[in-house]
Amino acid sequence: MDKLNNYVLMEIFEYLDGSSLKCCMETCSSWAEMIGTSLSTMKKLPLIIDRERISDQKEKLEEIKTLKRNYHSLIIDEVRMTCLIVTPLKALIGNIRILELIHVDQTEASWKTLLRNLSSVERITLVESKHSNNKKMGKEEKIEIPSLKSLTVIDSDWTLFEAIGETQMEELKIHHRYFYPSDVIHFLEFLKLQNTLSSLAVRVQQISIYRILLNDEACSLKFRLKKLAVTFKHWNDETNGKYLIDFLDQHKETLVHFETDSKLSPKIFEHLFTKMKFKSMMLNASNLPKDSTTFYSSLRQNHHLTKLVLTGEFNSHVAAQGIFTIYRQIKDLSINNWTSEVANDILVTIINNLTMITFLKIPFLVESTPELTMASLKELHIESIDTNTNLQSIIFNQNNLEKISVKWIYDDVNEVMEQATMRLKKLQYATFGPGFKPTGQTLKAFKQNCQNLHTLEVFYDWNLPISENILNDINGNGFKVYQYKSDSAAVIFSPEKSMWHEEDKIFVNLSSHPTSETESMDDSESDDDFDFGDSSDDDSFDNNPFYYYSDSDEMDFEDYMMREVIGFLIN
Amino acid sequence: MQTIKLQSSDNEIFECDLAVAKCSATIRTMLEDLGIDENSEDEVVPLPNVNSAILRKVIQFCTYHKDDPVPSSTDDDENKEKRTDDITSWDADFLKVDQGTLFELILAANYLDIRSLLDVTCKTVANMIKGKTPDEIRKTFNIKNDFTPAEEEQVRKENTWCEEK
Repeated sequence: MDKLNNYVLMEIFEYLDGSSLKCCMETCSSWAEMIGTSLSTMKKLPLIIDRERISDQKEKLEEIKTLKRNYHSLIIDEVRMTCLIVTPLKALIGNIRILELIHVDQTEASWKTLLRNLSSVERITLVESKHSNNKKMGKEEKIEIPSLKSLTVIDSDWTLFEAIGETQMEELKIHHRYFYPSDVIHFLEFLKLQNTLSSLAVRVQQISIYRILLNDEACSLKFRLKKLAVTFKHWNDETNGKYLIDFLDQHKETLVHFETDSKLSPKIFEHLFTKMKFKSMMLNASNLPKDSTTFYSSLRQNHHLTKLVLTGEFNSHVAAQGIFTIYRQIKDLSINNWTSEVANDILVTIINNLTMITFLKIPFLVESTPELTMASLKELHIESIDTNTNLQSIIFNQNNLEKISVKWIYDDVNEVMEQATMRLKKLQYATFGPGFKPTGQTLKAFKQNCQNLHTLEVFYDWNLPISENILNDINGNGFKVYQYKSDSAAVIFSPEKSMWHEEDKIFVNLSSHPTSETESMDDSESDDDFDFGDSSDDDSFDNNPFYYYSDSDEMDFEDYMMREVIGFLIN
Repeated sequence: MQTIKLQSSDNEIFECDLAVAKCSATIRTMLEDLGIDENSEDEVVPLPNVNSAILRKVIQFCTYHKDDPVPSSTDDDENKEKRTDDITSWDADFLKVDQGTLFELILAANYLDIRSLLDVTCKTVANMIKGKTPDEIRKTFNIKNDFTPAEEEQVRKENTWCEEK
């Protein structure tokens, strides 16, 4: 090993995850030094301060002082944060890029000390964190954090942000179960200082926050948004809807991306469809207006939108015909779930423009479906195929297809695949998930018939029915077959990402947090207007991660109680 | 087909396709910088850091991979988790060598600047590390435990303050 220089060792370490890196650090001093000082490896080893680690307060706090790695991320989890904790941290956090505070109750002084020492922090996430004392902060000088790019606030106290001055922040995400009147003032004060904001995501169920965004003082908000995501249950209400329309109008010239999974009023839809110049949009298909054809017929075409992601179930013929008549220029289409009727509408209307389609569920196309040639189609991503799906009609005529991926294959499709290779002359990249058991002959057909194909990926959790010899024979001349273990499938196939993509990971982790359950339940009981559990009036929220949050809370709470009971019995 | 002569550290001369040699960014730059005329048959490119056994392997690898498309590096790729299971059966077979050879291949790939070879060799070593205890890693790679008991305790202690991602 001593032959290898540090540069190539770092290359190797970058392929390892946190637990392997820990083992490497325990092997010898030079590896410990190398991994502990490089941010690219320390990225996978965040410094974590939590209850468990500082249980025996005094002694443990002394231990923090002895730490000396070059930490990339800092997580403070369920701790009462005082200067006793922050003071020893000061020396460690100069290079911190990512800060996460989860259920942290902090003193004003400790929070300010923390902020002052985070001179490189790029992303801050606060989850259910607050000041431990309600003392009004003095009019001190604000703390500058010029490196900050992204801030996420989840159910946290906005008085915390009184301390922060102007930043170069680009992204702000706010997820609040309840946005208190006191938050309103602090939020506005903070927002006024953020001139570079270009991406905003809001999941708040009180109109007050949207009022702020359109406050009379709004003229003092100087940022211009490029990306906007809003989740609000009551956009259907006309007065509320007006706020969104006005807000959209204010940012009309700069907005390129919009997403919502909420129900919108026809007025808002009309504004989105006709006035806005978004390039991409993510909507819940089941919320699209579908009651009357006249709604769509009065709207003119919008040529700006090229990418559309539809979550939820898309089952309305009226909506499909309507939306694809407006957005005829869509090139990149992603659909979660759709019916065959809708599929025909889509294919007939925009078929010639599509260059990329992602279908998460493939509809059963009726036999009478015309030959579906999508002249421009270059990329096709499908969740699953079996012999019931008209596989032939979907992929056979896509003569210009360059990239195809299919996550699941249920039946033996070797024969169909071999035939398909004769047509897919331009194919360069193909991935077929678990279920595809290619024979040597099928692989050869791919190589011989698809002259441009350079990468064929297959997944298996059994031994491929073809020998290594055949594989070696097929590989080469720019053609490669990769075999993955089936658990890698999820890495390669990921559905379209929402702006909340990062946070949704946190919600999943949070739901296993014992303290969060009690708090969330208190919240929803205290406010009838804001009941997450009740989705009876609104089943369109099925795919809303926001709801998933509260659902999984309950599930995991039961799970947690179960574990507690079992633990009790064992002891 | 145009060829080029490469000279290993032990003075063996290898004649190979120019296209194959150009998989190495180092050789590409050398040819440009030195103004070695690609048409002159007698020109020999000296590679003082690579011995003949390794150079033979490298040429074998590059011959096999010369038609591979150049991977496009987008922003998306940077954030992607680095995979180690995407090694083709040919590459896996090619890398069934003793550890000394594997390390020499890494160093040669690094010196010759052949990205695809460096990637696949580093992945192979990473796979050898994964799932092993510190002791097993030391045994596998013949690493000497040079920690004092106090240092070892310190590393362990610091590790308990790190979450694994």
